[in-house]
Amino acid sequence: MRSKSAAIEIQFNWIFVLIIGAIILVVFSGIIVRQKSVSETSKNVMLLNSLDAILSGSESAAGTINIVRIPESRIEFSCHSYSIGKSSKHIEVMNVFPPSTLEGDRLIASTLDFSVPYRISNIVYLTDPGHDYIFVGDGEIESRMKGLMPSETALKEVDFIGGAAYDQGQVRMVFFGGYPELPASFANAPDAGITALRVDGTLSHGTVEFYRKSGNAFESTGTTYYLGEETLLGAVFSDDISIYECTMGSIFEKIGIVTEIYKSRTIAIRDAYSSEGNRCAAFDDTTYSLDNIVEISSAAEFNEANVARISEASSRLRAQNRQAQLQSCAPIY
Amino acid sequence: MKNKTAQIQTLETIAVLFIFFVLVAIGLIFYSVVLRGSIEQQKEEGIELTAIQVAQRAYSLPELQCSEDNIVSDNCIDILKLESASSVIPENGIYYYDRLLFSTIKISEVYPEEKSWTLYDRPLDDFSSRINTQIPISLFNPISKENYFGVMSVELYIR
Repeated sequence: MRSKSAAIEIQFNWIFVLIIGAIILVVFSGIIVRQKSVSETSKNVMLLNSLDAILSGSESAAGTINIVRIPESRIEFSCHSYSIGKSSKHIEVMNVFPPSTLEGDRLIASTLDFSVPYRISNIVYLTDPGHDYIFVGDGEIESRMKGLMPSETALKEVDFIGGAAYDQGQVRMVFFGGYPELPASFANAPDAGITALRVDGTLSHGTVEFYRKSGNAFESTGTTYYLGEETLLGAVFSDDISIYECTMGSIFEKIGIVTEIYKSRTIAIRDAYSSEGNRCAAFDDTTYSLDNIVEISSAAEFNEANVARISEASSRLRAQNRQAQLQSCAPIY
Repeated sequence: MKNKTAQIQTLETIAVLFIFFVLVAIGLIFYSVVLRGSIEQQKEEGIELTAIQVAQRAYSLPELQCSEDNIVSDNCIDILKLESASSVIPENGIYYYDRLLFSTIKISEVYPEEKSWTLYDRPLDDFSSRINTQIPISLFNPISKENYFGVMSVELYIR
């Protein structure tokens, strides 16, 4: 009877210890899992805010290159948004040319001033050290693009595509003139992350065709346009045509807004000279003609015809501005 | 008698566990209070960073900056551009909202005359904080080629 009571007592103690132990384990595991998730979300939000600050800071100063250290992460870009894990941020105005994904613990952010011919905006280019760029061809455009690439990017130049060797990671091949060919060393490389661009045009404007690797060849994902070397460089950095066209749409919208300001400004200059009887009033129909500004203003939608119209009106406006400077009158821009 | 001793032992264990959980609870409360303080501080820093970003964006708008042949003069705003922009920017409020958020941006000439232009006005009625950044600037008249003293005021509203 006594030994039976002792056995029940021991069993009860073990069951009690087991239940309490399980409760303690569950409670602490819950706290750890929740804390991990909170910490992850907090890190992602912090990174998104930092990226916003990086983009904002880069936008304000043209001609800069920043290498930014970030926690190891994968940032995905799409039209009007970017995301890290489950956290994402919407950007209505895209004046950044990023690849579709950035990975690693460093970002390379560079900026250039975009003008038509007056300043429109600073354009931000994003990449990471894991992206390799291969330029194929020679000539003025290739050499200018090479000069515009930040020195921190992994840029390889080859005269013929057969000379390109696959290392690892993401590779962007840019073909100046010729049609894209996949080098033999890339045949066994994964399709994802290997893209190409074919450039056809001049430094002022032209067309760009986007490609992605599909098996042993490149497959076209679409053709679009560039306006000036700054947006051509954007096509080099953006490996996704939808992101590129999205940014171009925002840039063209900004062209429309800034052109309206320059139009009013030129009218104000003309009116002021006329009312003062200033000698510069004699150039109302030549130097201060609104024709080219109106032409740019009416072409503020991204398409092939408008790219050519802006490019031509822009060079004529440059000549008008030079005339204003030579006549010691207020410049148009 | 044996039964009573066992009951006392069990009660002792429960008491120890109760104290243990009370200590854990106190620890968690203390941790959450510290964490909340840290989050508040981060939020405050975030608001200040946003205010600086908005001021920086407003200050470096090509729509306002003085330039000759695209060479930008620092700390300078072109009066003719400003007069045009003060009507063009409000017409394109949605485009600028992404850059300038809920804020009011005013540019004032303080010498030799006193004038004011409201460039962007999108205030928030139920804001939790408001940060005002004042930036001294030079206002340039490209026709008379004269410079005047001015101030750019960027008032940011946070929900």
